[in-house]
Amino acid sequence: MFQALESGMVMGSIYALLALAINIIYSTTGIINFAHGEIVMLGAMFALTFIVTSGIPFLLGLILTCITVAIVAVILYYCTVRPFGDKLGNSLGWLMATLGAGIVFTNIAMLVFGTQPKAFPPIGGSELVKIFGIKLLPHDIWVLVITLLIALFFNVVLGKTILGNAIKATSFSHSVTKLMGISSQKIVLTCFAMSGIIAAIAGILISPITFVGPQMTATIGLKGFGAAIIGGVGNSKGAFAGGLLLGILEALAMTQVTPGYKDAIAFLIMIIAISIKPEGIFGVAYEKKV
Amino acid sequence: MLKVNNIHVSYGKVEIIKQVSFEVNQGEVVVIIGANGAGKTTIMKTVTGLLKPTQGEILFEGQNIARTPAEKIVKLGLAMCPEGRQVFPQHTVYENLVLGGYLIRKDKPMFQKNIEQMYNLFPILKERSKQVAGTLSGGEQQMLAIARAMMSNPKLLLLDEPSAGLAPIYVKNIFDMIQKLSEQGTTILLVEQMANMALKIADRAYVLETGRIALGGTAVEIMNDPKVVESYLGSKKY
Repeated sequence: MFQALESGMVMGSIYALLALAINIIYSTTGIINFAHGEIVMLGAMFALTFIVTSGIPFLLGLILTCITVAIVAVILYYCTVRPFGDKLGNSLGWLMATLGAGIVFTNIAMLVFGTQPKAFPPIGGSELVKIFGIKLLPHDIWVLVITLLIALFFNVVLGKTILGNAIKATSFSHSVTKLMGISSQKIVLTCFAMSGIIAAIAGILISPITFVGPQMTATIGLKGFGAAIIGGVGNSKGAFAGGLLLGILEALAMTQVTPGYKDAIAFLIMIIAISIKPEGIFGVAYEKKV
Repeated sequence: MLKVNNIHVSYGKVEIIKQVSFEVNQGEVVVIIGANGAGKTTIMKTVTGLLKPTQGEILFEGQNIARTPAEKIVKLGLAMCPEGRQVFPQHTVYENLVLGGYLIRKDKPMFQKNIEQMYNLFPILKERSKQVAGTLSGGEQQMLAIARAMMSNPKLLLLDEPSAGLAPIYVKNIFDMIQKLSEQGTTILLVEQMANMALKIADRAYVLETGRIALGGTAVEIMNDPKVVESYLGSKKY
């Protein structure tokens, strides 16, 4: 039971990181980046190349991965979102473009890295430690700690800084934000870069769990969207609530049914959550004042 | 200060503004009056850079800003309080002012001075500084929108229909404020449907009709023009 709770929290943290990145982009552009799962996969691929293949020290490799993936995310913005202008609500072009970009990323990864999944060493070695009678990998603790740190960091950035203020302003209106002398384009770019950095970290954190391969995030990516929707799209607190809830429920369900149904159960949870509270846990049905 | 020369503005294939020219001199209050759909807001959006004219030039202190991005135009000293107030509804009153002062954020004393000045001018904003702007009344939101625009120390303030949708008592209040800001040295370009109120505080005025300037002159001239009286002031004397 506690073992299930623990593994649920670990997977939930990863879903939460995916959902957070999806929300950051959604809040300033109003679009869902359907290539996000693949960006996480690219993060894992780059980490594998830097840390395992080239033998670069872990921390340096992590920083390099973050920078590379942030650049990929910015390029993604220029190729799939920018061409559709400021008023993205008026077109659905970005939907096909981001979906397509995801497929392109998967295929590039297949060509460059091959289709065979490769192992990635867990952070802190593979020796099990025992805490309160639960056996866990140091990696699991790292996942929880890093996710918590990212959550706190974003809470401060979004809630207390002028950048957070400007991000919130951009999500209300690009043109009014420009009237404040703030380049809404730069804010959107910053958000894409941040989503890339979170994706890179998420990629490194999942790699030891799923192995590194072009298809590694095919379902995890979808569950990330699910977590974002359960928590309330655009809400960063909701991302964590939704991610953890999904991860824990999924793991608890696994103690009752065979693991083969894992993904089916996860999506069932999503469907139930969405039908009970369509706006998400933290989503508010916002009424416009005339 | 501001000189608009023969601008044309289109939304897609539809030309909304046709060959419009006007100017605003240092220290003036200039008002553009016109009916719904005449193109008043389009002119404001074009001057602030949110829309780009297809032809013509916009000179601000001698510099052509017709192709300058909106966020750079603000830096030159031209701020706008947009139509429908458009305060950031999920930000507090204070945060709205912080965003308005984004360009002077590094000059802490100046920023503090401006906040104090706005709180003096609009005491209600000080009272409500921690309140979320979406919960303010229309009149309070309008005051906040004006204060937010003033935070960047603009030389020229553009006001797009500040009286729209406000209770009569607030309308009077807002026009008093505009006059006060003008007396304190801000040049003002105002767009209004409340022609009589606007003309009272204006130095000069233009009448906009279906995308063209139909008439221009001093506020007194416009106020006494029989055509204007009939169509905009609604007090035809028999």
